[in-house]
Amino acid sequence: MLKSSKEVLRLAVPSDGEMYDPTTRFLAECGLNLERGNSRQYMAGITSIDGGLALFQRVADITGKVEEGSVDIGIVGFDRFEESHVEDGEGIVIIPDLEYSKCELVMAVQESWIDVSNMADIADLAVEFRERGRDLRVATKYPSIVRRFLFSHSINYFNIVHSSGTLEVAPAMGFADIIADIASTGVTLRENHLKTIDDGTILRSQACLIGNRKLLSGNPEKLEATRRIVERVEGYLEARGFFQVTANIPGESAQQVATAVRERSMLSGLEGPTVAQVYGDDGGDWYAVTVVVPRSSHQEVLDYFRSIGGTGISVIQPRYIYTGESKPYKRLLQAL
Amino acid sequence: MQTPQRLLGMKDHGPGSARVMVQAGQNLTNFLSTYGYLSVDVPVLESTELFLRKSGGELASRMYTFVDPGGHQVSIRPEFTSSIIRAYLEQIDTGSLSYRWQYRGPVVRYEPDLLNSQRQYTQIGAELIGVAGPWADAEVIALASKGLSSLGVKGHSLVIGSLGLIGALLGSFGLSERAKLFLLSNVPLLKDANFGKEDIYQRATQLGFLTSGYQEDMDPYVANQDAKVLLDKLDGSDISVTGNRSVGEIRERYLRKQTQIQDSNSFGDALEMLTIVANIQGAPSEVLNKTRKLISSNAGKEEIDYISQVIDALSNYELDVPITVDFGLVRGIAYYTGVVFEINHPAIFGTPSIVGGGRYDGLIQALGGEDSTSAIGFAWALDRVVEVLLGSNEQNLFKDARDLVLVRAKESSAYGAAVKEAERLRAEGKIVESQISFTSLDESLKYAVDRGIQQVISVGAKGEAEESNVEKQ
Repeated sequence: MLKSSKEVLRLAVPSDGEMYDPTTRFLAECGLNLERGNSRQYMAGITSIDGGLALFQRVADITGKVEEGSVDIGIVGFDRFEESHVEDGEGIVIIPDLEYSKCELVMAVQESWIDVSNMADIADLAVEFRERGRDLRVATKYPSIVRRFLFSHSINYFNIVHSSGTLEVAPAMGFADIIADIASTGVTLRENHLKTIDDGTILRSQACLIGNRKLLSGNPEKLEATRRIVERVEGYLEARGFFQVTANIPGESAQQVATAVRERSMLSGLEGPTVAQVYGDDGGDWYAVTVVVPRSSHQEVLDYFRSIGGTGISVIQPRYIYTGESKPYKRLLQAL
Repeated sequence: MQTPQRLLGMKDHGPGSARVMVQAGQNLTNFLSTYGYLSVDVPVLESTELFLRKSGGELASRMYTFVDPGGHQVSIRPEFTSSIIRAYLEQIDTGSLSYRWQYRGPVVRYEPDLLNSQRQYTQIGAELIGVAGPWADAEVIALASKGLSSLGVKGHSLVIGSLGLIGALLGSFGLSERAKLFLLSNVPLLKDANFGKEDIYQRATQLGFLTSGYQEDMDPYVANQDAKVLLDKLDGSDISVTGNRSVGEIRERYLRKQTQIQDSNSFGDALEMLTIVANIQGAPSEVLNKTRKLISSNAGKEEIDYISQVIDALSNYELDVPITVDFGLVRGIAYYTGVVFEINHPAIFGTPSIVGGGRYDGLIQALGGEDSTSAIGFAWALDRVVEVLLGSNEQNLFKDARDLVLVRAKESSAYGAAVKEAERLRAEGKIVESQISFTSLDESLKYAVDRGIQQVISVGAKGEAEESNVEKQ
């Protein structure tokens, strides 16, 4: 359902491929549900962002739409952004690490090429091919990135075979010599008898939030709506790394309990423990202690609280965590 | 709607600098003509292959390359020489002994660093094809310098280097072509004693010219045995297993790689030697004496003698510029084989300098011509020449000395008579602007003052002309 309020901010989200599901899920987790009438509609409202409109776009088109300004911000794989964004263009990365859709763009050759293990070999091979009157053909969906990468390795003699189909079979079928493709696990490459090149990792990618510099700097309403989205995303990403632990601990005074808790530096929490008296039936001196700690120290915290007599321990996942100011938003303002 | 902006690295020339650009260009073209260099013109667009053939690939990353609507891979020219040689080969006339050609036009290069460079600039250059030897070198170097002097440029200096010498020295190390090209392209870094060598060692290791720890640890015997088993298994495999390479090719390169690893010492030696030679520069006689003592190989000594002959030949042109010999001078484009030179001017910072050139005996063969054809050429970077001229604070540089006249009609029925009067004055050799829309005499006089026009003539319907003096207003 589209809100009736005035349209303020247009957010492009992937409509296809492997990024559609993770992105809608991610946004929902951030409290930014996309309210799509039905799956055939290509627009949706965004909860809690008044005037926010999500547009479903092909993943390959999103960077271009942001650059040209037909949408204000967008979610896209960093690989796609690097491939399509233009020098001195208006597109900027607002949050580079949304922590999903992680993958690597790698160079791979036939396993049987035992003489080839690193980029120096590829460079050498390119020259050798040329001396034999052939060009080294590189099949990829990322011609710009791959071209820049090869040039930076002093490889100048090659042909890019632009392919959007299954690249892994290109060497075996003979329409390319090497491939540069996305690998998230490497299984597909191995199944097709390909091996990666040692220093041939071209790019590490994950989902990122991008925006049009000009549109955001020129319109306070758009900037404000963007700030709200950035804050939600930041709060959610931050919270995922922490647990909030509450325990009842016996002691003589709040001060004494706080001191005992602070003996473990990891238990200082983000600012320090919160200690409050518990008014129970048995009249004993109990204090409720609440700390926010890194996820990884779950067990350690539990053990320590028990060792100082703690009981009634609950661990919850905070939904959002915020510090005094939003770092990504501050960075965005600087970039504008 | 948004106004489309000028592209990064591109420049507009307003009437002021464009006038200097056109006139300086014309003067340089005329200057070359007095030495018998004939003007030729070649296309802006060529097949990408042409520029890749012998540029060592260095230009590849800086070319504007695209697939044209017909599906051909084409590039906008980043330089003229390759096109000139292609044209020469296409229309070669067996009767001729040598060719003196000149050209003028824009070239584009995608310069990543825009601090000191543009992406489009105009080159005027000359090529002397079919003649070798110090006298040919001297003529071309002299042209490059004297042309600038003929425009009134002062304060420039000439730097001469020798890729012949560098090539002869590198030749003794038995390096691969790729390793040689790498070293050559890094010579400019070697001249910076503080950071150069370390940086190059690091790059060379990354690119596999120098042994990295990983390869040292590998036991060649074990590796060879493993490889043998693997390769034997592969024998007779089809394309789906080895791609477009045969098992033989893979085996051959694998074995070559094993020996190459042991050769990485000579790469280090070559780098050491190059560091010393690249830092030799100074007055010609001094540099040549010093280098002669350093070099032991005959091939190297011959190259030094050759440069000394070029310097002697050059003295006959009586150049009025300081000359330096700098063996660390290698020009960016890898097709140069012998003498290379540049002309610098203190008003221009950074590279490229205002003139660059050199001998490129290998290019003609690389493009399919005869082995023995030699050639040398140079180009002026016209935009930089103009920058120097404009910086020499001559406001009226190349200004047309002829009188400027504004002809206006007194009334709308007098336009015909005014046009006739204007044509008559032009035939007398004056520069005449016609006022096309009706304006008062006062407005016309004001316009004339703004434009620097000396004379305003008002014409009546019957052709009567009345002159008003602009100065008096």
